[in-house]
Amino acid sequence: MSSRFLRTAVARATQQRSMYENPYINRFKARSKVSEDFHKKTTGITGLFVNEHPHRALTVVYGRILRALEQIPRDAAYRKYTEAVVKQRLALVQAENDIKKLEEKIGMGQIEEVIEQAEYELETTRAIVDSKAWEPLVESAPKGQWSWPV
Amino acid sequence: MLGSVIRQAVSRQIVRNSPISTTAAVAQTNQTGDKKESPKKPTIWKIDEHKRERLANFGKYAAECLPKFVQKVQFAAGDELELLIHPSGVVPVLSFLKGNHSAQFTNLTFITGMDVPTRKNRLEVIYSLYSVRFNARVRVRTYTDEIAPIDSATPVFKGADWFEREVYDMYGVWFNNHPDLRRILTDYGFEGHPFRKDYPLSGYNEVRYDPELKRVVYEPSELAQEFRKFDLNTPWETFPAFRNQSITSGYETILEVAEPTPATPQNK
Repeated sequence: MSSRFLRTAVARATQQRSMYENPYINRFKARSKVSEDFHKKTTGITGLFVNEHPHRALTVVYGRILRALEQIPRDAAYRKYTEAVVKQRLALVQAENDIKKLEEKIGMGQIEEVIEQAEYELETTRAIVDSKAWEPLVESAPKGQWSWPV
Repeated sequence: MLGSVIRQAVSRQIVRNSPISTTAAVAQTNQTGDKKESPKKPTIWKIDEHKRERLANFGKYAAECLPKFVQKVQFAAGDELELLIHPSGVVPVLSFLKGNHSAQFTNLTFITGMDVPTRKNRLEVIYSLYSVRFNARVRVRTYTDEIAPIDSATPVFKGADWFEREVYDMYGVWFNNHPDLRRILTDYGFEGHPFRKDYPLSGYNEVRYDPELKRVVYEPSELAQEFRKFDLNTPWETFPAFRNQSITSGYETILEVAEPTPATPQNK
């Protein structure tokens, strides 16, 4: 008798609790967790989670960017400029171990923002490789296309 | 002494009363050799020359990195950078502007359209991008006609979804690879594209509530003859101070790319 009531109460409580387990919030909170000894708890930017191993992440992404850039001809302007920037950043990442000092030297915001910039640059490089944007102009505008007023 | 004071007062009054004579007053000042600073009105927009120069350099940089697609780089209205690109290069150009370390235009402000019926490619699509990192804005413009589609910007900017639906609804530009291309502002079953210049101002249908059917019904437009005239030009001059200035006086071409001669196809 009492065990039946107890089982019913437990089942009811479990059902009630499952109603409030929002998977998106749970996932967000799981990604928001930071180790106790890390120097900051949050980036202050919604959706940009703290990365406790930025050196490894940056090294991986910069390596991918450089490998993707090899598919572009050596004399293309985009490859020259981007390789210079990425190699400079990679040297900074390998030379400086302190995260705060690395952020100051790069000067592009928090280290998580730098990682996001690197990921966007990787997407840009792949888009340029796919479209072969270094080639000469595909077609001039028709006569009068850009004249204003007509 | 007193005469010079009176002269300054008179010239100041002239400047204050009529803007047309501002040029004459300035000319007189130049003739007399007096180097006076013209009074700066706090409400007139001041162009930051340093920022403008940096934007011009960025325009050259973008044209150098994307020689296949950038046809022209220009300033519109003083300090607004515009990249005029080929329609096949929408995705790589927007990817470059979003992802490049020197650009970082991560905010898509708007996408809009434009219709110039006299052109060969009458429709234009205009993308406005904003860089939070560098506090800079750039516009990307491309062209198309009524039939040819343009690649959707949704793979690069997810926020382009509803903007492109609006351009499709109002101008009829078709976007390839759009996840959900349908009308967004007009009614279901609407025909035509209202922002095209050959669409009539009153439209093709009028809407009224029918008490017998107890619902809204569509009927073809019927306009009395005296309401068919559309003389929309205002009789007053709205900007007399800029009467002598062209609408493109603030434009400046930074770079214009010419098509390469087909004499060297081996280099491709």
